[in-house]
Amino acid sequence: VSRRVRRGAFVALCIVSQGAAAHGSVAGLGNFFSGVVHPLFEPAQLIALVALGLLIGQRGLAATQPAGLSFVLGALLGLLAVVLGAAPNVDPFLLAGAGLIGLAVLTALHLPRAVCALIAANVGLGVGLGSAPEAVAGSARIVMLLGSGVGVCVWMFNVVGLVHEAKRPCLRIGVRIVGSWIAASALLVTALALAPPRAATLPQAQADKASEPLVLNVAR
Amino acid sequence: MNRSTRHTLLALALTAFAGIASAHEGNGAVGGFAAGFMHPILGWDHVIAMLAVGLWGAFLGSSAIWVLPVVFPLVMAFGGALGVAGVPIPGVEVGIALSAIVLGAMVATATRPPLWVAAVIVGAFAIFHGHAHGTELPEAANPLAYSLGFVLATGLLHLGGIVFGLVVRWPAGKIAVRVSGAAIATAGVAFLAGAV
Repeated sequence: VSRRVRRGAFVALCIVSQGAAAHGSVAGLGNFFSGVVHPLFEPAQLIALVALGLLIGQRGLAATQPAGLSFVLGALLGLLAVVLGAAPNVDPFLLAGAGLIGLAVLTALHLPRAVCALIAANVGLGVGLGSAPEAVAGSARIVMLLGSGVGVCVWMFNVVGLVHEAKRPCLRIGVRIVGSWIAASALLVTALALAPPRAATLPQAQADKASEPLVLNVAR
Repeated sequence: MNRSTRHTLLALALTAFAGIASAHEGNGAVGGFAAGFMHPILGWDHVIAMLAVGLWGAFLGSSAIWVLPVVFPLVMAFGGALGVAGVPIPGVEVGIALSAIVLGAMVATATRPPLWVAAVIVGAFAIFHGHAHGTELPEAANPLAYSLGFVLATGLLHLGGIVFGLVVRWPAGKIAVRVSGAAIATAGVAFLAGAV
């Protein structure tokens, strides 16, 4: 197949494709792979995983082993809690964490290995707890959670690997810039989650909406 | 990872995130990543100020080339948080217009202050830009995607300014960058006239 045909097919797919639905099984993927791609469609999880990957990758290979292990254990614990019925709203926790980690990446803070490991365990736990599938029950739910466990590790360690390979000074600066973008986005959305509704300044229809409890709306 | 694999992964990611193309859709810049991404790009007052930040960073050289574009989104997020919280800032539109005038003038006059002074100037104006974005954030269908979009767009606008600013290494390029700074400052005067 020529490059032109492949490009045309790609553009056509981009035009006709629908956004994948988070939390449920993605049509055509099956339960396991729906779980694998689940973190990609949860913005709070995605930026937390990317931020952590940047932090560990920036910190070097020495920090990767304890932090990586803590992350996996934390994620397993979170997923186990979901299997047992836990389904807390961890998005504010993940966002605040991603913001702080983004700042650490921006400043290239030389965190001790134990602190990196603690941060990784918390992010893993948060992402695991946030992976509860909706409208999926029984063995399909377990399979999807298994996929989520594999997915969060794959995506996070991919970022770590990419940052490890970024040796050139301009790429190291690029890592810090991405950290600043994550921190900026997380700061804004955390502010939104904490802000009081502004019913008095909005038209009636919006005021009705604003008077409802303010919850994070992240690609559900 | 070879080039083909990278392209395949990029294609998969873009395809997964894409929605149906809908031209002439009436909902405009409401909600989601696309709306956030387009918000800074569709406002010329934002565009020229952010290009000016990149140009000035490239003109100052050394670490300023990346420090200024990093300071801007971070302080902009702080301004956005003020906007989200409903904290009023007087003269936001005037501040945005002034940012184009001052930053354009800095480039046009080849002003080279210490890095911290440049960062304070850029940061002060970023609050106005952030406040303008932040007031729209609560109406977004997906606030996180919206904020990611507009932070990314802001960064890319800075990058555009930096890339153009890199021509300062040649004498003719230096003139071109300074003329661009003057043009940005002039446009800022026009925006200021419209704002007051």
